Amino acid sequence: MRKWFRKSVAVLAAILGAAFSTPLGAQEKTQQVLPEMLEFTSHTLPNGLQVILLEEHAVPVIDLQVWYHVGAKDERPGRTGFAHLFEHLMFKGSAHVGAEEHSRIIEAMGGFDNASTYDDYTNFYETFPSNYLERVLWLEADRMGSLNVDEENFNSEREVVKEERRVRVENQPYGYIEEDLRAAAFTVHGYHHTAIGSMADLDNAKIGEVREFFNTFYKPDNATLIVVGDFKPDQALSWAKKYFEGIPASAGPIPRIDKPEPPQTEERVVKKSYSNTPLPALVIGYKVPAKYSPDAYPLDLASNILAGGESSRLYQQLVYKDQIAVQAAGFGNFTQDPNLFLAIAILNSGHPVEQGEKATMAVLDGLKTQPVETRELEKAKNQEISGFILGRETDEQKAVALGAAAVIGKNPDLVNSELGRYLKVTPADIQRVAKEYFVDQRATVMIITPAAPAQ
Amino acid sequence: MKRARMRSILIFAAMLGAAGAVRGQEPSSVPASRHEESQQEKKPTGIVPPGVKLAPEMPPPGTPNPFEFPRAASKTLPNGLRVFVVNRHGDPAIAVRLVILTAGAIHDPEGMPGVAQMTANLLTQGTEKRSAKDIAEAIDFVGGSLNALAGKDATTVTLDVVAKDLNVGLDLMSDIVLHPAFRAEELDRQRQQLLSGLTLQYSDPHYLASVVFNRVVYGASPYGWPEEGTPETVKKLQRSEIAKFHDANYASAQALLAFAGDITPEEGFAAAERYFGPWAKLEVAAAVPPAPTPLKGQHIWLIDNPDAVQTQIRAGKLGIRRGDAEYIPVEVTNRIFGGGYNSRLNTEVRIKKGLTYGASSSFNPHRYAGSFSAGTFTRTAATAEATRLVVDLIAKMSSGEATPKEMDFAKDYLAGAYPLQSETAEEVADRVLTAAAFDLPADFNRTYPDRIRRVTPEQVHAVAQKYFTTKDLDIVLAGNVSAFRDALKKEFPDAQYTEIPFNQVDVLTADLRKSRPVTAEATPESVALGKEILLAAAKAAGGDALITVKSIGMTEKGTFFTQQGDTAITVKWQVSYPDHSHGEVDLGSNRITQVCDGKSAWVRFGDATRDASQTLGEFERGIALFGGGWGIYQRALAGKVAAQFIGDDEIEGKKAQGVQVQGGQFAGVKLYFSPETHLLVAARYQSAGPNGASDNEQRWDDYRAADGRQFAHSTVIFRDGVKLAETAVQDLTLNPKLDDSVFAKPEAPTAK
Repeated sequence: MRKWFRKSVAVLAAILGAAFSTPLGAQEKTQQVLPEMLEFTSHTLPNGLQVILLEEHAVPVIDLQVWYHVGAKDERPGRTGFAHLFEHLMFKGSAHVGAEEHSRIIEAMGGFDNASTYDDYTNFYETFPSNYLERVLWLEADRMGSLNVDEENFNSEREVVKEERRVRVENQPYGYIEEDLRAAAFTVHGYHHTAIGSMADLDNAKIGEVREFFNTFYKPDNATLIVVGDFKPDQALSWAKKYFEGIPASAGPIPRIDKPEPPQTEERVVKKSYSNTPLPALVIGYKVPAKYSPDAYPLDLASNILAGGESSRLYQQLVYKDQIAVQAAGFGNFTQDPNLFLAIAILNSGHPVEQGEKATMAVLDGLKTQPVETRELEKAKNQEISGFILGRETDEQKAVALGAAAVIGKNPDLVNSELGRYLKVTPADIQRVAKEYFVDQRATVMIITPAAPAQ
Repeated sequence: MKRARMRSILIFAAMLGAAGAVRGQEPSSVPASRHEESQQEKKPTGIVPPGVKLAPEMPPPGTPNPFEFPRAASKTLPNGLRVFVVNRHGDPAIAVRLVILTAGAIHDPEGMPGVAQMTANLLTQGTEKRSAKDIAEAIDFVGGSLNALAGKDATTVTLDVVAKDLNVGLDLMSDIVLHPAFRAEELDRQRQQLLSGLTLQYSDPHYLASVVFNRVVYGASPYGWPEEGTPETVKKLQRSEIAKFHDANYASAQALLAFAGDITPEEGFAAAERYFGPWAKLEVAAAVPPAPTPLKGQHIWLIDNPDAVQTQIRAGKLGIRRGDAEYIPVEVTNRIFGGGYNSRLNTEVRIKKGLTYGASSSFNPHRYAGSFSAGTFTRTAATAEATRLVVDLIAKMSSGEATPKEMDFAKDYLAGAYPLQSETAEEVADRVLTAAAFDLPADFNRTYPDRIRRVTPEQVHAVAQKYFTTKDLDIVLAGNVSAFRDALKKEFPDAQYTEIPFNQVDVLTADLRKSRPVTAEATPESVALGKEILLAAAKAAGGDALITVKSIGMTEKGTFFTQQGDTAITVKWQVSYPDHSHGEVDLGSNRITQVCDGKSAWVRFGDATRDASQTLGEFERGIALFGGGWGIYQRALAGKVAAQFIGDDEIEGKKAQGVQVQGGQFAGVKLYFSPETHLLVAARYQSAGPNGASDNEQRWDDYRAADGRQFAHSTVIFRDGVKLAETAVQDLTLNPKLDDSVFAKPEAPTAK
């Protein structure tokens, strides 16, 4: 902290002493000022629970997260939606906490709790005044160790999840796109379906299977506890041990479905027409490697070049110059296993999707034919740096960054070493990954046309 | 940083690779069980699985660490700009916020919502010395963000940069605020984007319910207008209005500038002086907007979309202003009623009855007025039940009886969560600015938790009795109305109902519906007069001699006005009456061919021929109107035009007699004739465009003799109030010999 303060003051003082107006194109030295390292400590309890602690004393607040290393991709065919359904059940009471009590206790302390289910993990988290740390640890341990999975809760939450599916997918403009795209892009891998699951699978689920799901995956050796904020590490670790050590590890290794997606050999095209998508849209998903793999970094920088801000290539070409799109984006969904890089365009009314496809492809091809200019790559890197800075302001953001590194990357140090990997990317790297990954044989193309005429 | 634009579209939320269920107040939160009341009181099981050891007792809290809201240093510049600096040692980034209190949406010109917002949108789209791309490139290069947004009370310009790039950011920020260019082509671009965005919004029941609710609660007050405007107003936005709004409303003396980050007060004041000192002092007289005009009784608006599977529900009325003395008691009262997962509203509607996935309420206090709304959504079949329950809960709240448990729970949360909501530089800056904008007590931010804790049951009682009565209540439902109308009317038999199809919503009209073209009832007198005027015009233009004109050839030269600027055009026409035409349009760098054969129409641009048959009617109307209406007269002389007199109007300051075509091909077209010459001076008609119908006005002038007939040699077209084209006839041939092949579908020239 102190090192930061001195350095930034020095830089500022130098600028203030200089000439009044900053000329266009910023003649001042483009020195990079890098974000701080996160000085966390990592511990593993005898039962396998990983505990990551990071002190931040700016405000008397703590964000605490428990990441279970289970997500939608761990669901067997015919049993989609389990991980998410389970996330709901985790609030329904345990040995020493009544149904819905968890949230009430958090709210009463002036805190906020939340949870989410993803392809690779499910995380439960709360942000609260820091003098309640012991209580929150007790709450998380109680549900990890003794969650009440009974028939009544199961049946009622199943109905509730179906309501959620309606609001997120069925009544939401463009709500079906993600699942329709993934169903075409993935034939075997668990990314084939989304976390919400299908109505049919939810209806067919049995309570015994759900209990088995809990007993298999909701174990301390399949979980990571992350605590960021205003606390004393010795005290936090001691409490973590006190409340979690009594929960035994799983009997055997956590079972994983080992079904890698076979390589795609040719372009796939999906044409859809929905009643609530008044503007035509295009989504292209390119098969790309996993998060933290070497090519993920140049691909991520490519997404800054393609769609980072209004000076980006997709925005300038499709939205600004051609004026065929109201929005255009390009970004990689990097997950534990190989997933998709998405190029998306929502077109202005009256423009055929084919026109958007052609224009998008032309922009992507631009990355293949010419290496990006030094300045454009520097811009992408600056955007990445500021993303790391502005994206790690709060305790919660820091906790999520640690969770991803620890659970997906299997190495919490990645949270500090990642940025360096971005900064090493060269123009040749970007050209190479564009040529390798933005190709037809890796592409699933979704063409969405309105069913009803636009107003 | 991949930052989505502010008007970001729903699709990205769906595509961002993740997230199943998220609990909390958003619609995506974990919905509750839908079973009996007894279940809701479920106790801890007491069952610990074998092999597991857990601590049975809930641990007590530790001693709280104190939190004190940081102090802001402040200074007022000579031009009246008030500057605030919150020094946060060690922050790597700086948040800068400029709030212009006289540039809110409530200051939009009457009947023209969207001006403040479009002005804000255009700030980043070019200044006197920088193009839109220059600005984007400069802010993106440092990984920062620079945006401007018009809220109801004020426009806010936000800058976020890493500390070392503060000056780069401020240079851009002051340039866009002080010297925006408002280039016409950028306005057209932003207009197109906004119209597309609105197309999406108007198909989203969440948006529809909210925008209609706002309008009905506030009535005539500008707080009821949507900041983004409506498709109708956005289409008509003119550069002159935007420039005028900026000149008149961006007042330095009514603006606030806050810095939060690793910056000392001295540095902050110096930066403010450097970059905003040159802002010429402007002080604007405070203009209090017209007061809201609430309705009496219960009113229910039903916005119908037969494809919806859920209904969005809003119920509410007017609430407090931000400066109201009851603000803090209102916070506590709302928290109890509908401000959290465990509020009354959510507990009853979600947890106990399982009718919905998210139910909450809020007071929305602005400077001069405010609203209260309770909102939820439910599957179609449960609409009546859920609406009844929400209204009943509001009514119950109005008794004012809050239990001590409810009071403590609400106050514990609001006081306890305060540090959590003051963590980031942005949050701190926003709180400082709010206190300054609304002239709150100097210690408001530092004493907020204490103020919350001091709220008494009596104060909550008073608030509840004042703002939660249901005798006068506005309810808006957006969903599949046919499926729930009957059940709803059984629950609310005495309410006043208004139904509007979702694609007919226009919040600016009196009945909240898009205006339909007025076709007044025809009377024998109006029909007779219309016929008389039309025949007089036909006679003045040549009478029977017009019937012998089978074809014309004509060249026009003029100007086409586009977003790229004005383009010189030359058009060669070949027309065979009544409904064949071939136009060669030369725009200099481009050539367009337009052909119509009475059954189909085509447009050829470059080497692509597009079928344009869906606009066949527009081709045929164009043919009929050439030269001031010869095609119309030919039909009128044959007795084939039904028309009626619709009254006099003014065209370019001169009186003209209006005749509207009834029925048939050109139904709805309004024709205006000079009482002196009897000739056609103008026509008004609608044309189809990408964003719905456009209003056109075409005028004719410079009538010259052509073989005994009168042909207008100059014409001007206005579309949605903006000049689109003006041309003058260079040469005219009557009855040229035209082969059928002239009107065939245009094809590629044969290869050489």
